[in-house]
Amino acid sequence: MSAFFMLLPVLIPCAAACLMGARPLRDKKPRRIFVLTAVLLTSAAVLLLVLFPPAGRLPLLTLFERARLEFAADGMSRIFLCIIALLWPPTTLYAFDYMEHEENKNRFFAFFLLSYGITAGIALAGNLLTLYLFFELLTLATMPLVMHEGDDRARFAGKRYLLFSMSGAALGFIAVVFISACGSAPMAFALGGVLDPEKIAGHETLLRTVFTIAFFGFGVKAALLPMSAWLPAASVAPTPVTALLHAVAVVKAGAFACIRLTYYSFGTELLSGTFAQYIPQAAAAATVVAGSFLALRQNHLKRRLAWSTVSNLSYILIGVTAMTPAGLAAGTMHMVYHAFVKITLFFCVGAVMVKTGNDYLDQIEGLAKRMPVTFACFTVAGLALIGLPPLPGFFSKWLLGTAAAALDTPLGYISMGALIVSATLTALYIITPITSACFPIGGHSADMYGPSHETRLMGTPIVVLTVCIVLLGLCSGTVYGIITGWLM
Amino acid sequence: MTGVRSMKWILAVLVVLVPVLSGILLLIFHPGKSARPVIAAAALTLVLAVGTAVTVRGSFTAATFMGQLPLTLGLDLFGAFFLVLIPAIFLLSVVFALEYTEYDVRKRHVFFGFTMLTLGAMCGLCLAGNLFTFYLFFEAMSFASFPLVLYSYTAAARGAAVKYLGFSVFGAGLVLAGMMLCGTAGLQTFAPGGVGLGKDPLHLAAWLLMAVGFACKAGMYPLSAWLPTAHPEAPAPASAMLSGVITKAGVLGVARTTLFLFGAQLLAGTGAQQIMLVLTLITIFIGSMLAYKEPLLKKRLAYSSVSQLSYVLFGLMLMTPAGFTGAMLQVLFHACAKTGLFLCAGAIIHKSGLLRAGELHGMGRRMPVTMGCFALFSLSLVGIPPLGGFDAKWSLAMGALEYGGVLAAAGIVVLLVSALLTAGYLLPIISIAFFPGEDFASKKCEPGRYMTLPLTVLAAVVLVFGAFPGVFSGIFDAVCAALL
Repeated sequence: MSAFFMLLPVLIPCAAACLMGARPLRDKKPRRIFVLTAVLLTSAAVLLLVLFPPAGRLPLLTLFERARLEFAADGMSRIFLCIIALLWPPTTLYAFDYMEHEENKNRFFAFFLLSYGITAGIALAGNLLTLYLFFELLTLATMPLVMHEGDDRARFAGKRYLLFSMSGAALGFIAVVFISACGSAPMAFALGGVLDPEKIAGHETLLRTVFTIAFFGFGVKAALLPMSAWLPAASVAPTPVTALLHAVAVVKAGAFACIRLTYYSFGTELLSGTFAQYIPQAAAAATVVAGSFLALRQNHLKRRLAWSTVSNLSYILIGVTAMTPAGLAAGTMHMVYHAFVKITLFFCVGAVMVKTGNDYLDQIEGLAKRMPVTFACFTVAGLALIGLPPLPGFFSKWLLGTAAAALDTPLGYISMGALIVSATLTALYIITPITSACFPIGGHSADMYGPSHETRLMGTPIVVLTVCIVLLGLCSGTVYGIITGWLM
Repeated sequence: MTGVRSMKWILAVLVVLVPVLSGILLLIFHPGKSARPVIAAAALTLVLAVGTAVTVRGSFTAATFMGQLPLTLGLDLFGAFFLVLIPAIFLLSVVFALEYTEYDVRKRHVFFGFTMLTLGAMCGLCLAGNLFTFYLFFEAMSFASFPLVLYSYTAAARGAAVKYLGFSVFGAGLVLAGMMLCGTAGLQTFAPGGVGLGKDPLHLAAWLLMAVGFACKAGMYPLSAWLPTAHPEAPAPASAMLSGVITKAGVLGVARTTLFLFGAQLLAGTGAQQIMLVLTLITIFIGSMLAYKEPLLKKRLAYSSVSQLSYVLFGLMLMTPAGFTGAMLQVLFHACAKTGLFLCAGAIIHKSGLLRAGELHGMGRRMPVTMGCFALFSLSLVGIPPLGGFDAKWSLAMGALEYGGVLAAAGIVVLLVSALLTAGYLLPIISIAFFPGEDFASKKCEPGRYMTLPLTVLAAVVLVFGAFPGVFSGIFDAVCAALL
C-alpha cells in the first residue's frame, strides 16, 4: 500500500470537520448521516491501514535539516490506531442520543471529528517532533468539547485543562530539541532509541534529566502525579467526550507519547537502572494508589470514574517504566483493555445521568430495576476493571505485575504492591454503585419500579462494547500474540 | 480410552456448570413460591459432585491463556473430600432456607440464585488443578457470595458486605502478589508434596503472602476483622454456609499452596512456617476470648468460627501427619457443627425473634429438637468425646507433639485454654435453655421439617462419624502419606 494512504485517516475527519464548520447542518437527520459517514469512512481507512501497513515513511514537510514532519506506521501506531478506530463509531452513536437535548450540536460534532483526525495523527507520527505537533493540536481541538456547557465550571475546567496540557507539552518540547540535536539521522522512531552514541558520550546525566522532565511533561496528559487534577475536573464535559477522549484518546495519547519517548526515542539502554527510571516509576506507583483512593472518596459518579482513569493510566506507565520488552507489552495490553472497559463504564454512568438526571452515588438507589441492561453491563465492565479472571483486566494486570516483579528491584516490588492495593480499592469503588443500584436499603420501594429508562440508540453501543470486553478477555492469548508480534 | 477420559472431565465441568447456570436462571426467572427448582438444582449438583469425586482422578488442561496461564482441572482424593462435603452442606442449608425465607417469597430468588453461583464457584475450587484456576474460582466465589451478606437490604448489611468484599479482594490480592513473585513456575499443576520449587527466599515470601491471603477467608489474624461483621449480618442459612463451608475455601487454598505447590519439604522448619503458626495461635486465642464476651448469639458463633478455623490452619501449618489428619477432621466436624449452630440460631430467630444468647430461657422445652441439636453441636465444638470435635482436637494435639518445641507446647496450652473458653461461651446457653428456672415463656415453637431435617442430619454426622472416625482418618492418612 502506498505511503500516501497514511494521509487519509487524518484528512477525512479534518475535512469533514471543516465542512461542518463552514456549512452547519440544521436538521438532525442529515447531520447524523454526515457525521456517521465521516466517522465510518475514517475507521475503514484506519483499519485498512492497520491490516496493510505501508512499509516506508511519508515525509510531510522539512522545516530544517534536523526538524522534519513525517508519518510512519509501525506496530505501536497500529495498536493505537486499532483502539481509536474501533471505539470512535460506537461513541458517535452514543453521542447522537446523549447530545439530543444539548445546544450547539454542530460545533460539538465538528470538534469531535477534528479530534479523530488529530488523534490518528498522533498515532501515525513518525518522529518526536511530529508527535509533539499533533499533541498540541489535540489539546486545542478538544478544549471546546470540555467547555461545551459554557457555564463557569466548564470554562474553569477548560482553562485548567489548557494550562496543564500546554505546560506539559512545553516540558516535552525540551526532549524534542535534544532528540533532534543528539539523534542519529533520520531520527525516526525506532525500538531501542535514536540517540547517536558518539554525540551523547559524556552527557548521559544531562540526557537522563531531560528524559525525566519530558516524561512528566508528556505524562500530564496521562494524568501522572503531581499533574492529575485536570482530568477529574474535565469530566464536566458531555459524557461522550469524557468517555472517548478523557478515558481513551487524549489520555492514552499521553501514555502513547511516554512509550514513544522511552522506548523509541531515548532507548531503555540509557535509562534503565538510573534515576531516569526510578523517578517516573515511583510517580507511577504513587499515582496508581492515590488515584484509586481518591476515586473511592468521590461521590460524583463521573469524577469517581475519572480518578479511576488516573489510576489506570499509571498502570500503563508502570509497564512503560519497567523498561523491558515484557513491560512494554504489558503496558500496551493494559492500554487496549482499559480503553474498552473504561469507555463502557462511562457510557453506563452517562446513560444514568442523562436519562434520570442523577449524578451522585446516593441518588441511584434501586435504579437497576429501571435500567437493568445498563447496570448489568456496568457490572461486567466493573468486574473487568477490578481484574476478575477471565475478564481482560486480570490479564493485563498479571502481565504488569510479573513484569514489575521480574525487575527484582525495590521499586519493582513496590509497583507490584501498588497494583494489588489498587485492585482492592478498585473493587470497593466499583462495587458500591452496583450495590446501591441493585440492593437499595429497605428493599425496592414502589417508586423504584416503572417504565425503563433505557433507549436503543444508547443501549446498543453499551451492549456491543460489553460483549467486546468479554471476548477480549477470552481471546487474551490472541490479543497478546498480536501485540507482541507487532511490537517486536 | 481417551473417549472415556474426556467423558469423565465433562462430568467434572458439569459440576461447575450446573449450579452456575441454575443460579443465573433463578436470578432471571423468579420461580416464586415453588421450592422444587432450587432443591433440584442443589441436589443435582450434589449427585454430580459425588459421581465426580468417585470416578475422576488426574488433571486436564482445558486452555492456556496467553501461553502462560493454564486453566487446569484436577482432582485427587483430597479435593474429592471437599467436593462431597461442600455441596452436601449447601444442600442442607438450602433446604433450611426454604422455610427461613417463607415470608419473603418475592425476593428470595436473589438469595437462592447467588447461593447456587457460590456453590458453582466452590465446586470449581475443589476441581482446580493449579493456582491460576484456583484463583479464578476464589475471586468468583467472593463476588458471588457478597450479595448473600447484602440480602437483608439494610445499611448495616451494606457496610458489612462492603467490608467482606474489601477484605476478600485484598486477601486474594496477596495471593496474586505471591503468584506474580513466583511467575509461571508457581502455576504448575498441583502435585502431592509440591512441584519442586527451589529453596529461594523469594519463594518463601511468596508462600507467606499466599498463605496469609487465603487465610483471610478463614478469618486468620491480622485479616480477621471482616468475619465477625459479615457472617452475622447475612440471613442465618447464609451465615451457616459462610461460616461452615465458604471459610473452608480459604483452608483449601492454604492447603493447596502449602502441601501441593511449595511442599512441606521446602517450608518445614523455616521462619515463614513459624510466623504462620504464631498467627494461627493468636487467632485461636482472641477468637475464643471475643466469643466469650459477645452477647449476640450469631456474632458469638462468628467469633467462634474465627477461633475454630485457626485450629485447622494450625494443624496444616504443623506439617506433620497427625497435624494434617487433625486439621482435616476439624474441617469436617467444624463444617457440620458450625453450620448446624448457625441453622439453630436461624430457627430460633425465625420462630421466636430472639437474638441474644442470654435470652434463651426455656428454649430447650419450646423447641426440643432444635435445642437438642444445638447442645450436640456445642459439645462437639468444645471437644467432648465421642463427638467429632474431640477426634479433631486429639489429632491436633498429637500433631503438635510430633512437631515439638516451644511453639508446640504453646499450641497445646492455647488449644486447652480455647476449649475452656468454648465451653464457657456455649454451655451456659444450653443450661439456661434446658434448665430455665421458673420464669419463662413456654409456648411451643418447634420449626417445621424443612428446618429440623438438616439439623438432625448434621447432628447424626457429628455423632456417628465422631464415634467412628476411622473412615475419614483412613482417607486423610492415605492423602497424607503422599504429602509429608
